[in-house]
Amino acid sequence: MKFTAKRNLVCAVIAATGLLLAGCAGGASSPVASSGPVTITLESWTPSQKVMDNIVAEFEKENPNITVKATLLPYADYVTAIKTELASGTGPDVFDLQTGGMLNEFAPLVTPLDKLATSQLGADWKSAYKKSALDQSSVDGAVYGLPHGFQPAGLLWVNKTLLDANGIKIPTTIGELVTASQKLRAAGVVPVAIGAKDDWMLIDIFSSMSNAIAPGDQYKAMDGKGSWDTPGLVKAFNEFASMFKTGVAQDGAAGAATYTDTYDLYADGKAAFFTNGGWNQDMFVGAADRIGKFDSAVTLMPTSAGPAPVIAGISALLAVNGKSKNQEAALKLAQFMSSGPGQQIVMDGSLDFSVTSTDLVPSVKVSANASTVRTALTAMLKDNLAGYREVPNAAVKAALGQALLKLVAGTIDGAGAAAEVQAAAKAG
Amino acid sequence: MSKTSSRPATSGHRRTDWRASPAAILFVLPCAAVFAVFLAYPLFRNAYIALFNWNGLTAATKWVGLDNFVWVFTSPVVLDTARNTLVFGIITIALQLGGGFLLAVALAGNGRIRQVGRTIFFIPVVLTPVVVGFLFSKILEPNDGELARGLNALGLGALVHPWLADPNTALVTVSLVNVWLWIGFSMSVYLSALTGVPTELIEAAKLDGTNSRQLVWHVLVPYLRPTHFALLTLSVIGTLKTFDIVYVLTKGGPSGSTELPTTLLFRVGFDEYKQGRASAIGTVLFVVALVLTIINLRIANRAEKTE
Repeated sequence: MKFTAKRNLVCAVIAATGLLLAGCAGGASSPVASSGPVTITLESWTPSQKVMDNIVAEFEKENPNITVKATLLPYADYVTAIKTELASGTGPDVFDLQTGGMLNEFAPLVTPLDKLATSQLGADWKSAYKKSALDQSSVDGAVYGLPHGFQPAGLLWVNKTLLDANGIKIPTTIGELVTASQKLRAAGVVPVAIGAKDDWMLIDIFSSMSNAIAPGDQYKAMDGKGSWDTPGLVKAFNEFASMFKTGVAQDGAAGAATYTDTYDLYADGKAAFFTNGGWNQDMFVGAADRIGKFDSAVTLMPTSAGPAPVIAGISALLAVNGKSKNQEAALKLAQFMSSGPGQQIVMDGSLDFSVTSTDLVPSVKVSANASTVRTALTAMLKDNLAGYREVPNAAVKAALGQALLKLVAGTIDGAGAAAEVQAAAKAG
Repeated sequence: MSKTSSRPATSGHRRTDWRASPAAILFVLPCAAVFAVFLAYPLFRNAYIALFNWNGLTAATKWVGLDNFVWVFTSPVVLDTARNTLVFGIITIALQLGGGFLLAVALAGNGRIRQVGRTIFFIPVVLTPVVVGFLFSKILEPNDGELARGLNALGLGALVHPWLADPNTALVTVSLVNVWLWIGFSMSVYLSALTGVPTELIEAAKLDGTNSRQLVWHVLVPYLRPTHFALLTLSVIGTLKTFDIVYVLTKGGPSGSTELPTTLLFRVGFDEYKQGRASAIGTVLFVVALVLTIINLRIANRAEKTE
């Protein structure tokens, strides 16, 4: 009896464990035949759902053997999701990465494209792209994704109608900006709408300003050839902080997110200035009814050293998952979106600048105001470009973001901010 | 002699002889397997990861032993989150439990008004914290938010304040939003507990001449002690786990004034790619929650025994 009970128990445990292991077994995908219909997955935070649906429809029309399942998430959620998926050995076939720190961290999990692209697109596939775009998609000389979209950042959007109504000219120095802000406040207008809850926004603003106040210091520090606590950068940190003490930034800036607190302030005609990048041109497509009620312009960020140059970078790069069983189909989709017909669809939705040598322009009809703004942005990219946008090291980027957030809150000064970022850079 | 026990039963507990009851093991096995796979394994795995420097993505790891735990106990950033949690917890728990109890007492019983009141206070409980966070960040926006507009319309523009952007007020503001979100839950638990209060007890107290305040304080509060302890345990764990409402409202800012261990864990793990440190925060958080729960249960058991 005892023996039978024990045997039964052992059998039951083995059966239960077997069931459990079967249920918990990872969903290892079976190899896909090289020919025949395939389904590939794509994940990103951009573009909009409507634009993505168009891209998928056009791609599937051109490639009837390939079905695409695309998932879009808000940026912060996307980074969490993609990191978790890749760490667990799953993840989509194609996904977007930001250049800089994110690319450096994810590179080991992504297929380097040189070999795959050469065999699929031809030996001269790189000639389709601007060199600067491919450089931003590379780590140690190897290309890890196909770039798409290019935009300047660290500039100011201007509600010309509000400025004209208050007799204010577009400022070119920080002093003029402070004076203009005080006048605007007296008139009940929000001066500069800054989404200071977003560390990425603060990094864009600071990076532009620092390249006017201390030209080259930040790039030297980011490239590991200099330090973050130079007198010039400390001055830049202090001048950045002054915007939040002298009434330039809107009240409660530290609690405002760019999307959509300050975006709404600008789009609804309540703010005279709005810090955002060139991608904000999508307002002319997605919020045309709101932004059409006033005249918009763009200008360089005013500093004590004059107008600050912009920084610029690719919007993202499409990478192929190193563990994807459909590498060729995945690269096909990436190429379609970055330099193929998909690029035009994205460009018409977001008014991006082109990453390809052929220099595409949007084919969608936009307002005269949108054209004027685009001309101004093109001139900025040509004549007032400091360099790349994304901080290459993720930990340094995080430290810079935190230091700038503390400057906004007034809990440290410029020297303290510089010291914090330098400590993170030294820790490596 | 009983096969199941050779000792007399004490306090209603009876030792079970598992050898004579293999069926009992089979019934427990599925639950034990779920616990092992989805709770115990991730816990130990997380503690193991905390012994390495790892970016949370690639295979490359570096053994650092207890360095990450030392960082947790010595880093000013982490210690600030402990202080923030204490303040957040005291405000949230005191107002949620106290307010929930008083609401339950006021809204217990029949009547249309009471029914509507209970529903209104319970609605926030079923809302997603992320949605509530976005809602309140819009309402509290000092330039164009509903609160600012309302105060300005009433001529009280001087009271407009950047509640979420001021390091001195952000934590209290976030705590109050959290109370708004969950007070309905405490109310509903107390309402349920109040239905178990014997009517003879209430009537006897009334016959003795107790007024409403004395009835609540000297009869209901002591009688509902088990409910207090149960809600306290849940509230403590809930406080330690809070992430979404804080992340949406302030992302732990401004300047770390609302940073909780959970938001710091998220930032360290996902923004800084330091999974080892994030896992160390998670492990310490679990141990703290466990210890506090055990202390709470022991106090509750002791209180029950002395009655």
